[in-house]
Amino acid sequence: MTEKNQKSNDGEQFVFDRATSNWSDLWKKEDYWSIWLGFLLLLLGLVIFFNNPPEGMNDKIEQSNEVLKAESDRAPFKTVSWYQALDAKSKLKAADSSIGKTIKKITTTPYGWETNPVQAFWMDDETAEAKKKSALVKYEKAKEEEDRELTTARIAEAAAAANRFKSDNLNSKASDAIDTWRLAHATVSTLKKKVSAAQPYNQIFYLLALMIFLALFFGIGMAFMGKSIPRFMLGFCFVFLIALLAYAASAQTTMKHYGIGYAAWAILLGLIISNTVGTPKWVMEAVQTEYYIKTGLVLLGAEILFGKILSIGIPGIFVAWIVTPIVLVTTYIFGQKVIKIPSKTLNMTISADMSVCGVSAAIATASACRAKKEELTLAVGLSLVFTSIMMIVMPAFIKAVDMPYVLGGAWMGGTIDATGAVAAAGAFLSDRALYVAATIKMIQNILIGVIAFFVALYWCARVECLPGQKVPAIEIWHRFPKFVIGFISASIIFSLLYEVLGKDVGYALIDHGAIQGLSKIFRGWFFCLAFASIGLATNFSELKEHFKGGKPLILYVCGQSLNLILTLLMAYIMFYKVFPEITAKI
Amino acid sequence: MMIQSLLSKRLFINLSKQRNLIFFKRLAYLFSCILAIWFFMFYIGPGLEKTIHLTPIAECIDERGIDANMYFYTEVDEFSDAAFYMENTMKYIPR
Repeated sequence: MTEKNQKSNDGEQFVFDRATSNWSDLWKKEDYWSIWLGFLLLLLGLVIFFNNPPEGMNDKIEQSNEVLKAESDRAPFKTVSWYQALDAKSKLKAADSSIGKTIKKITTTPYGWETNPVQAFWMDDETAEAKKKSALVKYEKAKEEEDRELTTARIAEAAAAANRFKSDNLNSKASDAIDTWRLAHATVSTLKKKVSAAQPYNQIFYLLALMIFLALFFGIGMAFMGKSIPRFMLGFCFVFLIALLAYAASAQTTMKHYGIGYAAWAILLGLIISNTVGTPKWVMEAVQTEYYIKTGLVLLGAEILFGKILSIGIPGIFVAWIVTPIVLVTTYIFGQKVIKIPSKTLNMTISADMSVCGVSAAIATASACRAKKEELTLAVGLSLVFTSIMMIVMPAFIKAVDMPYVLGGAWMGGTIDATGAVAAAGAFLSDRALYVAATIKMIQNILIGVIAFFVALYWCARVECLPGQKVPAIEIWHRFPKFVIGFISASIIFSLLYEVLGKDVGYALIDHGAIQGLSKIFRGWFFCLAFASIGLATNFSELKEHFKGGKPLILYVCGQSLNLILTLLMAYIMFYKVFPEITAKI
Repeated sequence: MMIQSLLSKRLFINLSKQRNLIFFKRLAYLFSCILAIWFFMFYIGPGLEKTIHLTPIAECIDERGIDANMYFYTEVDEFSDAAFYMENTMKYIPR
């Protein structure tokens, strides 16, 4: 609650806000409801998947680790057995249990489609059979190829072993043969997934059930906040429909190539409706952008696992956690002092969006500094356009200048905004580039939690007050967006759980259990609902206002240029000058 | 009185016609937007792919089944594989 006070001082009058907190906020305020609902889902995920671990999980992990240790001591390169032990561990996923598959079936987003949009929701037996036949032919051919490469790799490894791994030439040949086998293995894995996925489906009933569940889920909070549940649920059906269409549009093959995801589609479809026929009044009860976003952010907190920042060692931390805050702060100051962007919240949202990891960083930062929905829309739009460009240009440039792929991967991971686009660009170069790019990006994603917290703190303590005014700690607490506490708490709790369980069990039960099996799915839906709400409540003219003078574009371009230069420099220094031994082992 | 009544009836009819016109205009805008999306999805998008050298990356995305339009690392399978590979490489580095 906020009280406005007017005070006069030597003839001058100024107004300041004094925020207050009450115990009733715990069940009346949106921020707290996002925490309760978010934690309810997280707890549900933990209970379900901790009680359904993969069969023989601990024994299989122990066996695989013994093989990994033995093989890493035996040979100076990753042997066939090393990789096979890794593959055995990677198959241990709680989300693959029967309950995990059921949850996935009920909550899944529309399927991929190329020319027939109906296939996003329904596929008949005939079409599924035809798809399966076609995928099976490719799979069997690839499997034969993989078996041949495996035989070659085993022979080469045996030759190197016979020489006690003392011959560099034989070791190099063995290592190359194993790399070729791994490429064939990756192709077989992808084709196997396509064969398994070629099943008939009918999502319409499940989507209806999901819509009703989500309407009730959010309706509980709305009731306590004094809103009408029937009116909310009626409007929610429309918002859900827009979110569903957004997911369906993003699943189209060509849209995947361009990296145009559900967030962009949800905003676009919402904008089209609100600026043509107009958003119906009965829908507005369910246009609750902040409510959906905050609940989604609490779930996102659980996906921010601090232990992962050491995945690639110190080089990764320097590229992702040193360069990123420097670019963020520099771009913000540049935006305020040089470009003179009038809106601080727009400036901060674009800076975070560009320097950290695109849409997810924009959402977290915009919520933390209470940016307007039009500002978030603008930041997301800019990110989308430049992501598509960089996804095409950067790999081509890296190939053209013969940049080492580890360096290229680190560069792309630290600069391309959207996570999916990083995967595509990295995979286009090589598996090594993909691993490095993906890991750097993941470490950057984890920075979101820290950034959201400090932005919220900075905004409460410095920005949302008069010049020269010192804000007492209790006032900061009153003003602090409470959902950020839920967001950070979820992150800390899950990170601690992950460390306590150990990386292997954490991978099986948390990564591929509570997170992939439940919270990530709902988080995606909540963000989609939020973006649909943004679109439905936004006017084109309001959006145009924020783009005046092209200042946001100038800010993005300047900031991204700095990001590109600093990231490349830091990646080169870390991976090739300071820690070349880590690079050699990747 | 009769003239006044006739005039207000005429005004009411004109206003109704105007309202209908505005509504149909808005409906036309809506359908134009849907048509534009349809064109982009099935004609302009695939056509542009070839001209802006997107085809090689597009083929890579299709072959490997990558979700190139996802936003967070947990939404992309390749990230999980990459992180898992890296963690085990760092822990079990060959001698």
